Amino acid sequence: MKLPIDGLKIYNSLALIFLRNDLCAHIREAFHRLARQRINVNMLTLTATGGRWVGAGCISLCDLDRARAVLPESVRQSDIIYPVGMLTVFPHKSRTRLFFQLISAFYERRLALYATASATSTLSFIMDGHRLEQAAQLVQTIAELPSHHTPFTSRLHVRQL
Amino acid sequence: MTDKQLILVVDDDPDLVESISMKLESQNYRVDKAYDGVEAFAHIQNEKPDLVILDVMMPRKNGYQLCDELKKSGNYSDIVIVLLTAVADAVASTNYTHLDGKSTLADDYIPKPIDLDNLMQIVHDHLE
Repeated sequence: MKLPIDGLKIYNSLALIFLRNDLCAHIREAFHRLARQRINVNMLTLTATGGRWVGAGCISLCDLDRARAVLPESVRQSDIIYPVGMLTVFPHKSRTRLFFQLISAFYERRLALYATASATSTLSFIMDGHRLEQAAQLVQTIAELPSHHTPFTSRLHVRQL
Repeated sequence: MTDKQLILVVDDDPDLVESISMKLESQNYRVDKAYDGVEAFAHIQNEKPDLVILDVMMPRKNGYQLCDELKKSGNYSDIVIVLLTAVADAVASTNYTHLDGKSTLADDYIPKPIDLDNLMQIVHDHLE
């Protein structure tokens, strides 16, 4: 039986930036620089492993040149992955079953995930842009959208004033 | 049937919809959810809400369009509409204002980022 969900959103043309440092403050400062440039960050995660911090932020591809100009020099070319896309499934309602089924399905299809995040309502998966449609179809083998609903592709680009 | 008042929350950000919904439910309101203007109108036709919390920038049908459609209709003009807007500084007055060069007949507005307590107070004031 499929798990009921309310929606499935697809965001195209994104870039994923990884920031790595021993000090969290350096990562925070890097994201502050993006904020000062009024660059919208669609998704942000922060991970601490073995005393090392890794921040991951997703921005619109059209903001990448502006972002590069203000990011620390320590950010290497390999720390920026593009073009990527984001698939957002909602609501998760704290159902770990939904999360594990999706992760398993992506793994079985060898669909690489660069980052995942959960928020109040959403589960977000960052992956190669050209595999978003395939991923959306895969989600619908596990989760069921309301009748007359289809995956929704966001065409809005948020530009801060 | 229930005596609880029904509020429709419309925003294309599911996390924001969920946050507002949880707060409203804690205040003893019934909540319906939609994620764009087209879906919202279908929900309204299915069950008329007492109040709609409506984002402005949404795909398919934006908040201005839906607000105008409801306020100019015979059946839905009495629904209270609270607009969520990131350009609240441009609003000079409510009830008939010019936002970003567009007219809206919304009953009230609240700026983004949202102060949930402020939003609850606005909802309560309109529905009491």
